Amino acid sequence: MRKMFGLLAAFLCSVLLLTGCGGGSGGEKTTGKKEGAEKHITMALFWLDKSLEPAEEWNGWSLARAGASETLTTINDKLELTPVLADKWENIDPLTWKIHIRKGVKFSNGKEMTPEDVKKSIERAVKRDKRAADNAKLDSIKVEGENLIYKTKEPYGALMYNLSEPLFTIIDTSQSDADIAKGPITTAPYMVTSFQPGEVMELKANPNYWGGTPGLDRLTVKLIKDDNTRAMALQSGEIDIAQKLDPAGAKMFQGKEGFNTLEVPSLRLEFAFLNLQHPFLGNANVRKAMALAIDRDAMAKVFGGEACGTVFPAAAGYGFDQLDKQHFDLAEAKKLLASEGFADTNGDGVVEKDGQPFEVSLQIFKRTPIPETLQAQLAQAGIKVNINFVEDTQDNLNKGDFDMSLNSYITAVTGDTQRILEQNFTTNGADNYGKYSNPAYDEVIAKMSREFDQKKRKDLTIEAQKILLQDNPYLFLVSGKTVIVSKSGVKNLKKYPLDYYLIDKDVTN
Amino acid sequence: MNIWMKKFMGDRLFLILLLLNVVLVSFFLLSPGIAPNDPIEIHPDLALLEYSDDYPLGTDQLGRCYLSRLMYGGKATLVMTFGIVVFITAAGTAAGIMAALAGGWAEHFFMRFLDTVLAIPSMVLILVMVSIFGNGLVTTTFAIVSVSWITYARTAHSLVLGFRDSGFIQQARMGGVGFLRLLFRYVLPNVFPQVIVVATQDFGDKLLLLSTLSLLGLGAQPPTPEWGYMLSEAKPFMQQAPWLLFYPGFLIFLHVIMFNLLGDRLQEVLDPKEA
Repeated sequence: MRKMFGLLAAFLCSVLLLTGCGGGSGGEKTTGKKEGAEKHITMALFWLDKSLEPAEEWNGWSLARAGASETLTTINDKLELTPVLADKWENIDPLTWKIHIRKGVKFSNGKEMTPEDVKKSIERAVKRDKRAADNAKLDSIKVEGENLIYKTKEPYGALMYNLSEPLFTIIDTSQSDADIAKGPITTAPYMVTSFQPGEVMELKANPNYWGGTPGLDRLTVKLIKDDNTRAMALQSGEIDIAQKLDPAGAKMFQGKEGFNTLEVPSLRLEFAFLNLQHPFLGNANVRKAMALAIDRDAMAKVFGGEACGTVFPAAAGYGFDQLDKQHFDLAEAKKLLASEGFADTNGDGVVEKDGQPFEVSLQIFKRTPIPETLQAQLAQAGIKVNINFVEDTQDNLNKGDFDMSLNSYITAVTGDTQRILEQNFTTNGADNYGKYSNPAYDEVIAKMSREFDQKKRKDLTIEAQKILLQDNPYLFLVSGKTVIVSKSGVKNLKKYPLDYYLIDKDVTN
Repeated sequence: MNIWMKKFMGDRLFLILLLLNVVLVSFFLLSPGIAPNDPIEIHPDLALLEYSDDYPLGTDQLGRCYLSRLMYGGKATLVMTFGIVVFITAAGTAAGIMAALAGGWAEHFFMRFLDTVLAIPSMVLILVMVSIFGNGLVTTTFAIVSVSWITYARTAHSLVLGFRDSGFIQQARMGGVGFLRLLFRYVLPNVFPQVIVVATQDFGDKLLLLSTLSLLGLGAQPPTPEWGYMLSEAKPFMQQAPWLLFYPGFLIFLHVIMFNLLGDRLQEVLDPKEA
């Protein structure tokens, strides 16, 4: 009996632990804002790596989120290319760009930033990181007075967009690599004062900032990986800004006094790779039927986003409204499958062709409501999907060892569309794991590389999507929302569609 | 056998516990017949309802009937646990008895091998196996089975050792009793009661282990409902819909405690000291 009471007590404790911690009304344990003296904000990110080396992995993105990175150009909250450290640029010929470097900009250590520093920063990034090299397509840089003469290996209309990627943060390269990893010296509004790898970085306002006085004196940036924990930290007052809450977490703060919720339609597309080597998935009509069997509105509802059905979400503004996107029409899907010879002859709910049941695997690496919704929806059309949860889908993708694979990409990562269209869908694209190939499509992308006019690039983007929507090499599903919740004292947060921008010089409290 | 029957029938607490366990388990085994809804049909418009007439325990994040999921999940969990326990009891006991009866270097070698395996924490072994063979209910079950039978082998082995050299076995052997008869008539009846006690108490442990692995995403794969997996699915909704965590958690707790109590009582009933 005593054992029973012991167990009962243990159970009650665990219930309290599980349910109780959400209770508190968020006591006013504000971390900063002491008698108006110092302006300080604590922010929690979902990602912070062991190093702050901007030209490696995604560290530059963490710096950019903390307002500690500046690049030649930036993409503003309306997704427009905006000058920062470069104040003007021109194309001399298809391979050569003349980029004028802003004068009077100082690094946070007081040193003047010269075109020579910019050259060294970009060359350093290209040397260190494959992604940087792909983005820069750098042949050579020469300093010519106040200008850089930048030559690309091939005509590349996306260059000035791509140089906004925080990989190309302009830093004082006289610092040693070890020091850069602990906190690079940049020209940004905030400078890193201390960094505990993978845990927390402390920043203060850059006294030598060229763009005016930053809105805060100090900024603490923490890593809190778990969505729930991040939401709770905000409730308890431990942090002032929580970046990227999941829909469930975000709902708790909606309309709640004391908090502001910023919902930014994301450029992140949730999609499924299809392996065109699969006997059924190689058939374009079958892929079309699958695309038709998915009710994206229902999926968006449980996922907390918007139906997408093409490569670029509505927020990106690349022909979303004028395209005949992948859409839901179950009857049409069934008809199409039947016309391809699929029928459920044994009454088990799964269609067969030549005695082979339509059963495919779907590999996932993250638990979201999407896989099970997809599974249930495709089952309506008689397609059986087996969900296979793996630690890392990349390995199987590289080997071509998959039927379907769920993933999400930020489309238009630097505000330009070429990279994702090229890497995912051209015959030799680096991310074309399903081996899709259409010469007409490849031709459009080749044309895009040679095109420097923004309007025409946009038209080509739409043309490329039209071809993809005929061939359906992927299942385009839904796009999410980036939700940022802050205490109401935090002011001037902007809705940046690119989620690697967050704190800028205007944010204050 | 008759003496045991008498013991069982004479112990009211044991009978009550047994009855409760049978009722509990049959409720979940009958779930396909009595569940109000389809456990895997999604209704995005009805997500996270607290309760309604159609959905007595509300719905989960995909709008699936939570009561039906709990019932089907219970069936999956209990059947799987039961299968694991029966299998490891049978296999482990058989191996232990054989080793003890065989004697000599074979016994020695076998038992030292078991010691070696036991020296490695079972959770680590299971995780290694699951990561090699891929996850899913089948591989997880296999992994649990392949590390858990050892306990039973050791129990059975030491029980047989206790009477292997005693008079009645010697006499039976001298009287020319065949191996099978020796096994079923003389050895098993002396091993079985204790093993049953161990198995009953172990049921809760195995249920917990299976749920833990599913909670970590290594066991049941969607859309199969399973209590541990349901817990892991409910985790993000801890604050919005705490009942999603409460129900499966409570059911796991209830079954673990019920089977532990039954096992404890069974031990007391069968304990010769008390008689």
